[in-house]
Amino acid sequence: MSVALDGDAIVLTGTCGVEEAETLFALVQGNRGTPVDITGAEWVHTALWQVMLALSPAIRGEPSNPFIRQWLLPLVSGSARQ
Amino acid sequence: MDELLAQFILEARELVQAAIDDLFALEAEPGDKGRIDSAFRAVHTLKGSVGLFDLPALHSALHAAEDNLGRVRSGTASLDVSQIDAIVAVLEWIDRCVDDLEAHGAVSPQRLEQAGDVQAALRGDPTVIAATAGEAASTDWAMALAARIGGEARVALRYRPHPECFFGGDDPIALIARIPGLSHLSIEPGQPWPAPELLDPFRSNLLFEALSTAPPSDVEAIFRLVPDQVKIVPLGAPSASASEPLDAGPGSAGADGTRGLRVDPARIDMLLDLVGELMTAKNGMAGLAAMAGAIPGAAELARSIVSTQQDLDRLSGALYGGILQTRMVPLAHAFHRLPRMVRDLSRRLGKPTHLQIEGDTIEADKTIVDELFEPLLHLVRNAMDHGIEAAEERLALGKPALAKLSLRVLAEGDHIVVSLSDDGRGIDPAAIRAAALRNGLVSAERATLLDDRDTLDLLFAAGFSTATIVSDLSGRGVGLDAVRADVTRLGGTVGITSRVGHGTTTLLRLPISFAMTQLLVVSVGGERYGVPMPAVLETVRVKQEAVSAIRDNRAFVLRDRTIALLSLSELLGLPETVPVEEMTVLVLELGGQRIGIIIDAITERIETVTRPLTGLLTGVRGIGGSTVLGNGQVLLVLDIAELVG
Repeated sequence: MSVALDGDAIVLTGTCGVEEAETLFALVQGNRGTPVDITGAEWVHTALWQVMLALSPAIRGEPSNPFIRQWLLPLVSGSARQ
Repeated sequence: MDELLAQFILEARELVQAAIDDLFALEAEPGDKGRIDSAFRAVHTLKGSVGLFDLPALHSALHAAEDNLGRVRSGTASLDVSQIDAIVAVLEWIDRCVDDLEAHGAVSPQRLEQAGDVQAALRGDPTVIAATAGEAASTDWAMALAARIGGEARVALRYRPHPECFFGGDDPIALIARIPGLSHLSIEPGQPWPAPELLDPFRSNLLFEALSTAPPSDVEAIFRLVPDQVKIVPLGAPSASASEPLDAGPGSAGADGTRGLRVDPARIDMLLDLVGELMTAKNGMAGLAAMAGAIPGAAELARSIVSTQQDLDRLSGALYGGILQTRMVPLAHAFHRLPRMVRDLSRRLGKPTHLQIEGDTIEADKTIVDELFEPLLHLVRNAMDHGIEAAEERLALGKPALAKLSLRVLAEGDHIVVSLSDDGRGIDPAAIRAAALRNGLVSAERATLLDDRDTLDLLFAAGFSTATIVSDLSGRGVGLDAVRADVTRLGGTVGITSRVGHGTTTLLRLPISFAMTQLLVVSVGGERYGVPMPAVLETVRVKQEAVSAIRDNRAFVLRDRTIALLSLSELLGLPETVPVEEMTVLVLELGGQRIGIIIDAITERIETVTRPLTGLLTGVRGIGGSTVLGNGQVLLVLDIAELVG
């Protein structure tokens, strides 16, 4: 499982494929206020980003992928990390 | 710019214009067969030229337009105004694509997006025509985005993934991540986000906007699989890089400058017309000399007139020759697109073919070289499509898999002979005979009388096609008849020889330039026409009572030979003139038969430059060319063979 509830965060690790959008959606919906930790994520499918954009959970951590860091993180963090 | 592309742009514009002219003429006169053929041919040729470039959207739109015209041509569909509009819309769209190509070297993506719409109109949905016209406004967002973000972006992108795209395995952000030189990215919901519990995580509701400093084509390449979901707008590249591909390259203009002048061909044509008039004016000197000779005591004057006339003859002849020289260009101009086409067809048809070109440095008049391209295009396609066998078939026959197509030019006095030979399957005269019978081109009894050479000649008959499938190449019955028409118009001949199993050779024999011709100016029904002197054996006066009626025809006897008598006014569809006691008759030899043509009178003999017809007059039956008279009037030169045949 690369999307899992682990302690105080929903943790994305490795490559998160489209099939995990449902899991992420359910976890974010069921654990309001719990941040999504993307530190260990290598690649995250668009469907999961859409869940994060639509539900605006807090995002935690900085993954190593430069594209995610430079372009996606500001977009999801902008609304969530206030 | 790529020379091929530059030539395509020129030609495409002409063909678009020609086809639109035809279509508009058809709007006024829907039944005009010649116009339908001509529009069809223009679209067909345009499609062929587009096929040389990687422009599938243009190709398929033209293919659809050609299909529609083809149905009109064969009588299975009618051409109403909405259909004309739809085809014109395709052509105008093509024209705008050509504008893009000229300006940016590529068709803009939003233009390509309209391909579906213009094709939908061809299928009978007229509402979309207006939609494509107003499409330009939809790039406003790109300009606004560029203005808001600033920077040196060369391309703006708006990507709205299809709602179901996740099911298809798409990962839109993965595509975005591949955009080189990304300078801006925003992600917005396509529709406002629904209440959290109503979100469907497997349906995309995202709208991406991005800017990039990369060349638009690099960005297009990334999104080539989702063209309907993305709008890519080039933002007018930084000037330095934009002008780079448009220039012919460093020093090329300068090199031309040292080699010679670039002169607008129209200026040379004007000189040629003037020299034609000079010749005509000079011809008047002969009459002057005769008049002077008739004046008692003016022998000296007559002699000097004759001597001046001879000087003028020599000088105007030299001037004419000199001007013609400036119009001479190497045949290579007509050939340079062929290797690419052969390569492309080789791949598409699975028929590896080597094109060998010889003698392309031989020169001919620019008009002839320019006009030679189209017939050659048809011939090469025919050879590749029908002549050359597929590689496996060739191997099975013990032939080398690599087929050979050779294009040779030979100079033969004042003619050039262009031969195109393939080493393909050859043409079986029996199959041609059968097809000609089937198509009603020959009667059964005539078919049995045809020898193999005459049979192959049937290939040039209008409407002949032995192709059993409609490919996107040739084989739609446009082809060899068009080739013969083109070549004949240029004053040339075309013939074909073939050996079954060994290949086919097509020979085009063309004049090197438009030589001076002697014309007989004749008057008929108050109009004047030129008749080429070489065609006329003699002129005779024939009394009405010497004419005998043979069934519907008339004939007279000249030196024990019966000669059929035709009236020029009738042939030209002019009102019949009042019969006169004694008629003036031109005796001509046509296809081994002598015929007499009744005219009103012979006005004069002139020596002048006859040019093939251009523009609207090209299709006029029985008119072989035109020339300008000394008084500036245009004289139409008759092609008697065509008129009678």
